[in-house]
Amino acid sequence: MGCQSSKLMPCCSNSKVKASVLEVPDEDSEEKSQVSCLLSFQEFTFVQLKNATSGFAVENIVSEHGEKAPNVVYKGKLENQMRIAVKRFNRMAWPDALQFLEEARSVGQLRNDRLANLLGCCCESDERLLVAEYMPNETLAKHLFHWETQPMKWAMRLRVVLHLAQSLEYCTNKGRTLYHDLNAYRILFDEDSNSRLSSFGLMKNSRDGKSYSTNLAFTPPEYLRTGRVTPESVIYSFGTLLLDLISGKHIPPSHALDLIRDRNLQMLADSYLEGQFSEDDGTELVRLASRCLQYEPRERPNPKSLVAALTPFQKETEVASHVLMGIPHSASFAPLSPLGEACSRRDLTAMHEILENISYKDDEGMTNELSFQMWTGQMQDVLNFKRKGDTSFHHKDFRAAIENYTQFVDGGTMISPTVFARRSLSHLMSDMPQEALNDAMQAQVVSPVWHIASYLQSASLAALGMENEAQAALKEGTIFEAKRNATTEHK
Amino acid sequence: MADDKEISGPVVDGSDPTGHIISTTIGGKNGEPKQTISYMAERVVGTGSFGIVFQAKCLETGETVAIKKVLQDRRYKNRELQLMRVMDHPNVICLKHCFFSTTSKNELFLNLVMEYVPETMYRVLKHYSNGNQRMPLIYVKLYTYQIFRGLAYIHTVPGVCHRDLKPQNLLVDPLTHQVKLCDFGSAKVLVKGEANISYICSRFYRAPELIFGATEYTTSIDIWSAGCVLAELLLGQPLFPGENAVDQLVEIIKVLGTPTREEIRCMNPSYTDFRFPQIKAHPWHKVFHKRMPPEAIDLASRLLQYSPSLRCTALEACAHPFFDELRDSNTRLPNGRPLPPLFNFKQELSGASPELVNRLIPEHLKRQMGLNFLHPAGT
Repeated sequence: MGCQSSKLMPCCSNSKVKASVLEVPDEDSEEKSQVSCLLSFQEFTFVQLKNATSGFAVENIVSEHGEKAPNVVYKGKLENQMRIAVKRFNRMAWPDALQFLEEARSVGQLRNDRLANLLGCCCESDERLLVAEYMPNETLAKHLFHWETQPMKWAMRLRVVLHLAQSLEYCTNKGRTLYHDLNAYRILFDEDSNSRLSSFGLMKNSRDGKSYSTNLAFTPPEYLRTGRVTPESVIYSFGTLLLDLISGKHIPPSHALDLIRDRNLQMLADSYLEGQFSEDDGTELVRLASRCLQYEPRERPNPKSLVAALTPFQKETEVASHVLMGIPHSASFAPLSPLGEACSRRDLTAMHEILENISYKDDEGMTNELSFQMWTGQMQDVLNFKRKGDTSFHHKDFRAAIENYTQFVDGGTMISPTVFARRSLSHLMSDMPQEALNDAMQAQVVSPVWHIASYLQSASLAALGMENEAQAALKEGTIFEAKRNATTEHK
Repeated sequence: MADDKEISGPVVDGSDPTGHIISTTIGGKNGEPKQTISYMAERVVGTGSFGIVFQAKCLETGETVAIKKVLQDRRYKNRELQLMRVMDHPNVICLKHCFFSTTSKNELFLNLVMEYVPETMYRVLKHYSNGNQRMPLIYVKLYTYQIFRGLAYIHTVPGVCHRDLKPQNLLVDPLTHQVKLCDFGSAKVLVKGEANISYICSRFYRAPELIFGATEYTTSIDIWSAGCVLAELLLGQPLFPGENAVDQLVEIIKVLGTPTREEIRCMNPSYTDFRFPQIKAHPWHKVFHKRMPPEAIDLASRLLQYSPSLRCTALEACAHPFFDELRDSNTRLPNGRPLPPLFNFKQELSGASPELVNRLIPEHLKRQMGLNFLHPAGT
């Protein structure tokens, strides 16, 4: 949950959140203290978000279309270590800055634990960015359609669709009745593997009003007629998602309705669900789906009645979502490498030894035009600082190492993630955790998926007393290292 | 139709038959008089691994025909001939008769004499794309409707799967705008539970389960191909122009998105362990142009389904609202002439639900025929 970063944030006392709570004192607003624990909406500078995403590094892209998506989503980390998702729009999407700000501020007032909440935005010259809570456990499309280890269980599918109905009910109560392009990519899973609705879809995404990116056969009929989305269109899309969850495949709704009419549930249902639900439940849910898919918008149910209809179907409610999903909880993860293990034990001596052994291997491929620059005397000086720093580092004279590495870094002619890593460890050894963290962050900016940068961040965060963040960084390092090993094995 | 046993045609063949006269005798059984028929070969209209097709003129009647000449293995019956003999439908090419011929090298050839239709869908498409034009929507409707009617017949009556449906194998009469399926060289009666080869069908039009090497496919592979043809008529170019077998799958994924686990299982259960790059479906309003009627997109998406069993049947396709204009009594060809016959159904309706039959027969014809098509309960 967002509370993990609470130590760093001026939280829970923010007037904006409280104000919106007071306006609508309904059941959703006050029940969860964790939700109000999130920061209120804020405006970020472009530089802040650029740094948070390592300069919008390709490695940080998380949107399913990758670089080719019209609006790319990156994962990132703010200076206070909070993990965020950053959506960067293309230039044409929001020509009117004021309109963008107003829309973002409005959506930014919403706070609910069924939403991946909008934390802020950035609007500088041509740049338009949105910042939301980062959801580490991927999309519904991934878990439902393209699962890797197990198909999604029926109980979990029922939970996802209830969560979705609840999120829509919350948004409707708050006056945000429109959701654009509701589909399986818009539903994300948080660190507890609970599903949440992306708040990005609450923002009208472009001037031409294209509200649906998918096959038109899946869009509400009134949208085809008028090109406009209404609150009832959202319910239609909810119906298509319900069909997705029942079938595990992309069936155009008009075709699904024909199958339902002919009572051909067999053909509709996901074969991986065999034996997991009763025929009565299946029939009832399919009936609910067809009510959502009514041609006449007026005849579709509203979010409140969807919540009421779906609640009695819930199964295994006492089992945590991450158990149902078979996703290891953030507290436990894969076995650690020697470096990861040293990091988790806070064994700085062992880390020093490993860093020594790795030497400058991981700097390979950094583009430093050495051969030419070697000719200049200035370059030679910079390299001498590095050499001296290395000698000091080797002899555990960390004060001298910091001095020399700093001279090297300030020289600015060469960029070396390894030097940042070594200076970070030297800072740690010298009981300067904040400086160590800064160096580890710098190393990540230069080399976005370098596991050693994450490990050093973890060690620094632990030294700063930020346990949760240290764990998250350790996990990140483990994942990066596993990925790195996987790719080198294939070579 | 003549029987091959009663046919003889001892004509020496060269590789190019142009200018040759081929004579054959038919009849002579059950007291019928023997009759000689001679064909003057005029030009080659098609060649392939199977042999050649040439246009010829019957000297006795003056009628133009197409003769498909294939090498005949003496050990086997020719499957194409067996199938063509049992088929009789306005949207399926008609076999007039057939005869054997031999060459000096003692090779045996089977000659299938068929009605001659001057154009193919391929050439019609080319005509429009050369002129930088799109095919008028009325022709798209008229042509695809007839393709589905032909498929509905071959799938349900003789139970034949064409297995090589593509614009080159669809004949078009430029005057009447009648469409006929042709080239049954790959066609087969599919039997449930029996394996079939998967290396059939031309690349752009191959159903994904064939790319996945499925051997227990159904006639729904023809529905996929017809969906590709529909999209091509709407677009003016092939929808999935794969450069090779693997690329073909990539082209499909680019438009439809990566198949889901369940869809992969439906196509070929032994492929569920494979990993595919995850690509989101391409927005169809970007695949097709803006003015595309929603019915066209709805129909296309019902045909181009990964799950074979979820593709609609040929008859269901005929009943689709996209073709409602053809069922309107006021609809005419752009030149003002009436539409070719589209509703003279026969056996292909026998297995259909009353509701479906009701949708297939236009109101004006129901009234005209005085037939009482009762509305089935619940509609």
